[in-house]
Amino acid sequence: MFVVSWILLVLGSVFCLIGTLGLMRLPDFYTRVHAASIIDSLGAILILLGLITQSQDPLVIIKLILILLFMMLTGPTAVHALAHTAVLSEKNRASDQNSKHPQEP
Amino acid sequence: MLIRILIAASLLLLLWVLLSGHLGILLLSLGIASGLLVAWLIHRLALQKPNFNTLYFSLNLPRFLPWFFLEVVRSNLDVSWRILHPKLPISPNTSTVSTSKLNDVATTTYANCITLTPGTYTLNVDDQTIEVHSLTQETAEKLQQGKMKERISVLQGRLNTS
Repeated sequence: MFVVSWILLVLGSVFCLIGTLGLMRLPDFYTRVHAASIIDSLGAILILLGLITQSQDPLVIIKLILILLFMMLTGPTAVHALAHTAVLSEKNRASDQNSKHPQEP
Repeated sequence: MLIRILIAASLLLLLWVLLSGHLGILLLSLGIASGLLVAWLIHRLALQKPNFNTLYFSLNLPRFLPWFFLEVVRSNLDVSWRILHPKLPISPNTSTVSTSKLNDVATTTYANCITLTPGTYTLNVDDQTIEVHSLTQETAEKLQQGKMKERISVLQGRLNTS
């Protein structure tokens, strides 16, 4: 069980690392969100599974599973709020003829 | 309606007690207050339409989740491979998928599932369509085939009756 737990934890960390790398390599905001969602999904799932296999207390396991469930709900909500705001602000900027600022600082 | 709020609040309080494990007066009253607040907020959101069968949806969820998690793992590997590839083989684009025949909760589930699988996420949700941003052309085409939508529409149990 110990070995399984560590394999899961290391794999989760690797996916978090890949997500971070993607966050830096990808060209603009919209594509970077995709990299962030790797950390959010497989990275978080693997690390939490690793922690679940490491604990003996059933209450701790239940709490970890609940954290996993809540992350599955809050993650997409946050991503949607971010992306939707980005789209709206881009539309506002396009309609605002007077300001000729560059798209990204 | 008040009864529904009270039922939801007491369920939330139960969760609170289960998670905190403390039964002091201060923590319990805080739990009651936050339970009532959250129940009222949920009521204000009015997510639950009277014609929606929550029980059927929940009972069918175990049939959907294994397939969905496999899909999440598969798309994770795909996006990871593209990030690590020296040439970054991506072709970002936005497309729309239809949500016809899906009710409110199923549409929300669909939009969330699209966002949870890396490579695609929801930009905007209308009455009939979801606007999706995809990392590559292939993922967009895969979404257009509508396999995920089919499985979610089975969840809400409409296709069987209509």
